[in-house]
Amino acid sequence: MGTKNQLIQFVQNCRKKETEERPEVKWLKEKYQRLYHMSGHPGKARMDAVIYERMHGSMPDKESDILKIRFWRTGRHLPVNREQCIRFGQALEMSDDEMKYLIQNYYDRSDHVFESGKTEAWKEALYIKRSGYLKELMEEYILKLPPNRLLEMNISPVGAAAYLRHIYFQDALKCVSVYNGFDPRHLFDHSLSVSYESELNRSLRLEGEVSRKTMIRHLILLGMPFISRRVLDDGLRTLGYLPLTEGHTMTKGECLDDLLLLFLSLYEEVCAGWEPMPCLEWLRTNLRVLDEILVEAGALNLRFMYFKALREYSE
Amino acid sequence: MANEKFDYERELLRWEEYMLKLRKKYCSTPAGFKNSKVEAAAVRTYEESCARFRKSRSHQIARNYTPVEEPFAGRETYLTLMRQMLDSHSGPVILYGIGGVGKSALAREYIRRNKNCYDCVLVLTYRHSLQDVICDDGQVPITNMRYSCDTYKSKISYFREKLRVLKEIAETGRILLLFDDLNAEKDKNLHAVFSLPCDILVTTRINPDLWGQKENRQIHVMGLRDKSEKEDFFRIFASGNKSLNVEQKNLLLSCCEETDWHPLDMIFRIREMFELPSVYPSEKKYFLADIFRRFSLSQKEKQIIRELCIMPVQGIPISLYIQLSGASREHINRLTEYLLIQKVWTSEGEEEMLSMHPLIAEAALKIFLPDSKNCQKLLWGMYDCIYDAWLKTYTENQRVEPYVLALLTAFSRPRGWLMKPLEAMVTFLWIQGYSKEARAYVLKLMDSVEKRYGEKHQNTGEMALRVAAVFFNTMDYERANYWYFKGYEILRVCRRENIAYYHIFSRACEKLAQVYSSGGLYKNALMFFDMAYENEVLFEEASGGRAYYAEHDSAICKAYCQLGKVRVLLDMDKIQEADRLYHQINLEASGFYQNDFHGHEARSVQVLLMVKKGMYEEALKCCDSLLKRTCKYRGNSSKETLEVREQFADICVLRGELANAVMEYGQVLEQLMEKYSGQKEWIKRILGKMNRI
Repeated sequence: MGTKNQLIQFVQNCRKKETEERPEVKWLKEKYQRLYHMSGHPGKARMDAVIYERMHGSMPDKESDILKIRFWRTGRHLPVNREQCIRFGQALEMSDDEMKYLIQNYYDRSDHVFESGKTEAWKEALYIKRSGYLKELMEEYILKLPPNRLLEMNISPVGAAAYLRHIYFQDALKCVSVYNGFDPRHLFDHSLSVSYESELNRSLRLEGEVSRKTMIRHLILLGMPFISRRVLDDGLRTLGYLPLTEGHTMTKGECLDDLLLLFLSLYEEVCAGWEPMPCLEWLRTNLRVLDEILVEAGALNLRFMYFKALREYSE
Repeated sequence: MANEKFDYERELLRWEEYMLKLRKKYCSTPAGFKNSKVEAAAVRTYEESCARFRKSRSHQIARNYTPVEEPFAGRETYLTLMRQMLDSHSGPVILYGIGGVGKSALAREYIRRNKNCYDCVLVLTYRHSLQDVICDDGQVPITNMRYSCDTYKSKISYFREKLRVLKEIAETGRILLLFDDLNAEKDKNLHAVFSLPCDILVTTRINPDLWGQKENRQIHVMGLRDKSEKEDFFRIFASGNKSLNVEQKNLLLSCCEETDWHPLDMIFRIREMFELPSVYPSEKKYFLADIFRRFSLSQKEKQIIRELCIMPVQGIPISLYIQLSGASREHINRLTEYLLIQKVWTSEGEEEMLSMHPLIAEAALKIFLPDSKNCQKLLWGMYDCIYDAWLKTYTENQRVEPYVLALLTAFSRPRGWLMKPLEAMVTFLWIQGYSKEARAYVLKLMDSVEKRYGEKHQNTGEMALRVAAVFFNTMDYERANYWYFKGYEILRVCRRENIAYYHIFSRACEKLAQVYSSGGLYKNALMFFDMAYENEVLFEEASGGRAYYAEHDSAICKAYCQLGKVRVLLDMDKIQEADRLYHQINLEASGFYQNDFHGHEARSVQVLLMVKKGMYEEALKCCDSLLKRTCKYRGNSSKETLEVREQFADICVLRGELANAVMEYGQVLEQLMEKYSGQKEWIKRILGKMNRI
């Protein structure tokens, strides 16, 4: 079966699972039930009120205040932010491991967020470790650039790091369907985009919330062609995210991990023993194909290589 | 990337190396090494790439000079010195000397003997600049280096890069660079090239002092010195089976002495003698022309060479040459730096002489073709120097003698329009006793004046008088009289060209008066002295008293006319009239009171007058003084001296000092027999006087 067909199959399989309840929500329900039992079956509304009180330190003023608790435990919505999510988990009397699961699996985020000016000492050490990892990855990324590419871009090897965002943008472009109809005249328009630059810099500096999908994209782009499940897992783990896990769903139930795992196993199967540049070429081509398939299937949330700055070029 | 040079190949290797590391680090990924075998193969490929890169970037000198076998003789001292200097590694060694003296041959011999001491030898021919030599990829081929303006933008950049690479190569091996024929006065890259860490040998025809090089790194290569090396030279360069016979050897030896044992000249001569095939590709003519081609000479420098090449081989004092030619010391010094002329102090250390190697002089004669036209400034300079030769002592004039002779020898075919300086030189010759040479040259000069101006011309008449003077002063009175009359006739009928005519005609009349006087035709003599006086007065009025050329002014000439008349009157025994006339003469004008030869005639007449008046004692004193002065200015054997000595002897007879008289007559006779054996009348007269005692 051709690679494209295989990829179509992957997407179809993943899309099918999206209709099922998230396993993370199932897990949350179990935790809720545990507390419910421990609290002596007070009734769901009463339980929600207790959870609300535990979260906010006061009883709800009106019924609509506890509505969100119901939405959360039923899986209709997610807490609006990390703080809420953590309070929710604390309210459910979760252990550390359960809290970790709550954030990483259920909330699909990194276990820690680093806000500039707000870090504590232990967080600083963690930040140094995690940002160091990304920094090393970025250095590898620049050093992997072949000299002909540098020559083409008229960039000196010594000063190439300063052009990372341009190079990243060009590489990312080649991995999405937008590339097919891309007008090279607009190649440097992104350089005028403040939002792209700030978004990229923020995420690569681990400032604030960086979605797992975004981080997966970074790990793939910066690591290509030296990627595999193991490599991505190591990266995700180091950066405080859930490693690629069969059955894991994103917050809206998307089976990104399954898709990625299937793609990566295909990559490993096809390109095992290849030279790096052909591997790279295979990855770019097939990521692009995958992205096309996702667009065609309407699975926009699964487009893990796509980001906002590319939107202009697809319109 | 504006200011950084992107070395693609080097970057590619760097990237390949990095990729190897990553493939090893991420060996679990598809792009990583599947197993150690794959890794080993990739590493091998990379190392091969590295080796190829290193080879493509490594630099070596791609040529090594191989000396051919060629005959070479002697020069052991130089070779030993070169070896010592080069082994000390303290700068370039410079072989300098005139062309053809064997500098390049010496350098090649050094290479032949010491080639095994070097990893590489390059023989480089200097062209326009050291930059050109180094940048010439044919002369200095280095692997993986080739000039292209795309890569290097300019020759200056390429030169700097090549010099850097040469330095690197030289630091890893012993290199010898021979710069052959480096004849540039200055080269802006001299210091940079000479600072390379190699052995550097230079051959040049200029003085290395110009480059500021240390004296102890210079070797002045000259002609062969040693007896053994001269013999070796003959043995090696003459055919093996033929040997020189005594006559050939002597001829060759004398030629070699003349050219200071100049090797190339010797080779030419040997070749000519044995008709051997040419050892060197160029003929002697080419070699001679080539001597000057190596230098950029100004017109003034060429003129100096042109003038010096006709000077005697021992040279000419610098001060005298500058006086004669007006040449500047700057140009002279420059030619000295080029080794085309030499400055040598005399053995007494009195003055510095300018001379030229005989080979260079020979070349200069052929190339610069000196003649009386292009050397006329020199001739006029000599005229200024010797026009008053008759007023100077014999010894003083001797200083200039060789140069007058050299000029007349060089310009053996005189041009009529150079009559004045050339006849002054002729006069100088007979003053200094070169009667034969003076007579021969004056006739050639007369011939050319006649051809130029015609038979009846003022200049021709004047020249005839000069011819007469030469014969007169060399005591060929018959011919002298002939030419005096000829001169007079020409001047009598010719057109007056200018006011000088009166003066010249006055001289002609004066000479005819003397001829008549000596022939006893006193009336004619007096008449012609009067004519001479009158014409001199005309000249004086017309010229305002200035002299004709460097001759006597009119006052002196008039005095001489009167003195001549006094002589005639004395011969006529008209003593009182003579005495009266004598005292009317402006003696100051006649130079009587000057301490040189000026007043000779006046003193001579004075002595005669004294004798005629019976004042023997006074006459003897005066004559003694006159004799001393004449000896000083004319030498012991000149005509004037002998005449005065005879006069002195006559006075001794009149005073009864017969012994003295005999002694003096004896000296006169001795000189006449030795120098003027043709003066039969005079000899007879002296003998008669001696016999009467």
